[in-house]
Amino acid sequence: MKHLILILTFLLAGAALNGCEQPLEGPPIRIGYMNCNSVEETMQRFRPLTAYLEQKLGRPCEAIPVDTQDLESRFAAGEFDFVHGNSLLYIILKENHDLQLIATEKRGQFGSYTAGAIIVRRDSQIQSLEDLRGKRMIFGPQLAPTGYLAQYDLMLKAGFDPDRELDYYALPRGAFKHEKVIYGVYFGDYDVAAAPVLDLEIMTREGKISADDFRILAQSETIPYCTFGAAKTVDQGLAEKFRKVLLDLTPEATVEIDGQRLKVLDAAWIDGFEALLDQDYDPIRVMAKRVNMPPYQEF
Amino acid sequence: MLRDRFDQLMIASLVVVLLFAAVLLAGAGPGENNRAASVMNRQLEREMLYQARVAFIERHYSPVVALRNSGALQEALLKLEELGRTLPGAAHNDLMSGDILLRMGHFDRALTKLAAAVRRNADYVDPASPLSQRPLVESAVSEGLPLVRDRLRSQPDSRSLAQVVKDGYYLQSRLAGGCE
Repeated sequence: MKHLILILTFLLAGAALNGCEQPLEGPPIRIGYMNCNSVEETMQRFRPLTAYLEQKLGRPCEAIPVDTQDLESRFAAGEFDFVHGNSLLYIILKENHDLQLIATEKRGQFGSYTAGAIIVRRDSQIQSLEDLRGKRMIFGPQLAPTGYLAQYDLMLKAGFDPDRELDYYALPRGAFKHEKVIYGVYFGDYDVAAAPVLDLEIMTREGKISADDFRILAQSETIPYCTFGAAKTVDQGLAEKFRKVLLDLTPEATVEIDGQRLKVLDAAWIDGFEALLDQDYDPIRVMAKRVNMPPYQEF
Repeated sequence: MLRDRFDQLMIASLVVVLLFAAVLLAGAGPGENNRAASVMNRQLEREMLYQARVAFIERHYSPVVALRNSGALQEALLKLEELGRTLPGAAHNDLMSGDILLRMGHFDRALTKLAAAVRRNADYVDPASPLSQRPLVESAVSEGLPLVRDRLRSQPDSRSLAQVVKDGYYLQSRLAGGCE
């Protein structure tokens, strides 16, 4: 009987200790998250992931929303230990500030990869890139790898100079830029648009558009999607732990935020993470050089 | 009692009729008939189910097949996204995605999608099934698995690549006749 009580006591104590949260120690880890649409949306998406990282790393973590255009200067000023941004920003920070590759986000049909497409309405007379001469085009934001870079590069490779040969082109303002681009063509404000394939996929899945609404004139090769990186000053051990937490994340992982238990990946609109190699990003480097974009821009 | 010849004849006739009836009942009894009918019914039901399935797939997926065959692979994938709204979790959605991703050269994604399709519906690897897609699955395994395995060798800590290799082995085993 005594032995039984002793065993039960040990089991209960073990369970209680297991249930306790790991105490957080050390200075906070600052994680910069590129805003896609708004600060509120970024925080809503990434607060659960940040809280999860905090639990797993045993260090306080701080989520910092950051505008795409400001990301490089704020990173250079040492504001972030880790950053999450698009794959062109990864190249810029890698080339200019020795960013370490941590993990690539998976979302949609191509997993950790995605592509850019040049689309027209299904009933458009435009049949090829040649037909774009003198037409009105709308691109995504300028630092978007699959909303601007990939499409601009597609046209240059086809011998079509968008700067000279289009009637004019525009870039949308404010939030939901990729959706604005797609709707811009759908409602006839523009003849042609530079649409990320992932956004076409998500909008179709959500019933916002139909697969029959558009024709794809051209599509880029697939390139890595949004990426986590670490500053060169981050300790290798911490960077490895951070990577492992991300790669081990499953759709079942949850965290408590404001009294609600949330699924970490669902909340962040992410399917998972993958360990890509730096060389997997080379096609983006080639595109950026051809399009004369940062970090290779020459004047 | 049975001295009368007529009585004897009647009794003998009765015995013959009874024996004949017994033979009929025992030899070609209704149980056998029922079993045969039930087997036939099952075969018929199965056949009807297959035909209904094939017709259903043709009706819903023919636009995807047409886009795929015309080389509009991305549009075909988008059409599948649209179908996913009305047919969520359909095995054929995964199968078609796997087919298109394979044509696009995304071997890892193709293997994952095809493994998901076969897990949901083993007919895709059954050579006798009208839904069989063995050549597609065989080419995904023969083309994709060595590439993914090579990549895993250079990145042994990649869990997602390890999972794709597992999916590839699963398909290989199903093609070889292995069970779940």
